[in-house]
Amino acid sequence: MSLEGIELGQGYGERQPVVLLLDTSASMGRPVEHPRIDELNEALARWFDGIRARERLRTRMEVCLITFDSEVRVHDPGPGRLVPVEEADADRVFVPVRELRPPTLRAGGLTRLTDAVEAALGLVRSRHRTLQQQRVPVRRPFVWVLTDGAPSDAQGRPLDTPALADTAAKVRRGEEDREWVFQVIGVRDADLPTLRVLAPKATSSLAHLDFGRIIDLFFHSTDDSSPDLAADVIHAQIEERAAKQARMERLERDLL
Amino acid sequence: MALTVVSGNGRTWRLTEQIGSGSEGFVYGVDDTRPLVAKLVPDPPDPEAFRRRVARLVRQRREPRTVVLLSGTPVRLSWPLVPIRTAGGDPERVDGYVMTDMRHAYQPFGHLLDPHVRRALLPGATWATALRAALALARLLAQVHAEGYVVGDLKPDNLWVDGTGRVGMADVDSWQFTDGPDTFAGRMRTPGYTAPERIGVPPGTPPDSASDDFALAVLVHQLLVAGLHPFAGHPAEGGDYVSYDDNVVHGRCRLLDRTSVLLPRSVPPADLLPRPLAEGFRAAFAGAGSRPQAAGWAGLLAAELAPGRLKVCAANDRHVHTVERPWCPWCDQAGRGCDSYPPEPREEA
Ligand SMILES: [Zn+2]
Repeated sequence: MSLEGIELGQGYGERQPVVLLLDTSASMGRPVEHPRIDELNEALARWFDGIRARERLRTRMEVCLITFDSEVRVHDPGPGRLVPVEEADADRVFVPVRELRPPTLRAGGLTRLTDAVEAALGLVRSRHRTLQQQRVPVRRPFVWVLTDGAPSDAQGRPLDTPALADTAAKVRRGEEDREWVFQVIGVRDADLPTLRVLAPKATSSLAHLDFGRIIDLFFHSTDDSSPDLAADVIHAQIEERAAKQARMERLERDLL
Repeated sequence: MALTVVSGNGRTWRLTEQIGSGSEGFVYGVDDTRPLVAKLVPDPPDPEAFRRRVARLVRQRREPRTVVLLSGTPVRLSWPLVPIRTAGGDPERVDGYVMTDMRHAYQPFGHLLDPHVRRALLPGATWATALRAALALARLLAQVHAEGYVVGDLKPDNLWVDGTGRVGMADVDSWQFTDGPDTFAGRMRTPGYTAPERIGVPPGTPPDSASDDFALAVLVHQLLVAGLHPFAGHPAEGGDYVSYDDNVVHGRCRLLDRTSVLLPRSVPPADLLPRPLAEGFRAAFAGAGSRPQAAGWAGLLAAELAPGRLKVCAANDRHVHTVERPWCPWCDQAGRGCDSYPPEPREEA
């Protein structure tokens, strides 16, 4: 049996929406002499040049980049720049991984993580539904958060447990309904206890890993994870993998 | 980065860049005149079991059964050559091993399965190349089984291919094998390449040669149908698509039941397969009882490469197909909007 209208110019393999939520708050501008944001920009450019992408990843994943500081912005591949999240159309902002040209990110402002997470969940849910309705074989999406700080509200006040509860419950419900897998990677001085309120079993610390390896971890563990397993099993596998990456990194550094 | 590793007898190698990472370990380039790479497995679940596994495989390299598998050039298996540990570590510990760098003679197997990538990196490959690669893979797996090994995690990521259809395999350390009285169980499995009887069973349930034969049938199908997974498609009965494995469990497969899945019109036509191969696939996907073994696949595939069995399309010499089909399946596919073997772009005069 065949179907009209699902010619997407990408072959006929599986698809998988992936959202990368990237912290671009002021702390990413530190340290002044080597701002982390420069390192992240360089790693994104290098990674998406495709040098390190495995071929299978290239065909399946479609990526949406969201940045959060005092604003939440989404990468719009049309003009190739970040646009306010209110202007984002879920069917435009997911780009096949081999076609993504990441914009240059700048650091500054607050850490409006929960607003970004809520926006990401809305976009990824909408994209997943569209693909299912188009009868595209689409795997459960992944949402990855990369942050070096602690979530704040629009006034810059740190978010406490009650303030995070609503978003945490949404994340959790979506995982139970197999709508997505949500995973947080904290780097440098990330506030892990607060992040764990948001994602209790899904917050890994990779304090010193370089961003290229972290992006590798995002995509390779998304790729290797079984779409049939419960989100908590996937979280445990990613935690194990992150721990191995961190140990490898330590070995490399110690022996310099 | 300057990571140094040491073998048991004190030989050292300097590792260069990290060239791969998997769920189990990391592969690094090795600074050596020979094409070598090193696989490191930090914190294996049972370090002593990992040490013994690597030591036995390294020793088995000299045994007659393994010598057969390692004969021929280029070598088809990236066999563990020497156990290594990172310098400065506990001298009893084994962190990994040195093996042949398959990139020297091959490309990642996935390059042949993705039409875009194939066109760029294996530009001469046709359906005949796919048949030869399928035959090489089936023969290799049949030999591996005949010598008592089970691959366990047979998938494109562990395989290599060249422009003539030669096939190699890596990740030998995840194989299942016996050594004297000891059994070293396989434990890995990969979505989309897992036999139905192994889906949903507790982790650690050992694979067998029949589960390898299922993965082989999936790979042969992907090779011969321009990358299409045999269980590809949206469930026709409605409801969401979940995964290939979910389709496997529910028997959603175009070759078993044409009405079970929705597929784009541009997929290669199912009748591009010669009848004996189509029957082989149906037997492989219908149930474990009827599944052809690797040696059986080798026989079926060799027959399709016999003189006079292949035909080149008059309209496009990149279109190669079985003589069983009177007209070209790739032209049919092109007529529906996608040509898996498009003509080579002509130079502008
Ligand atoms: Zn033709």
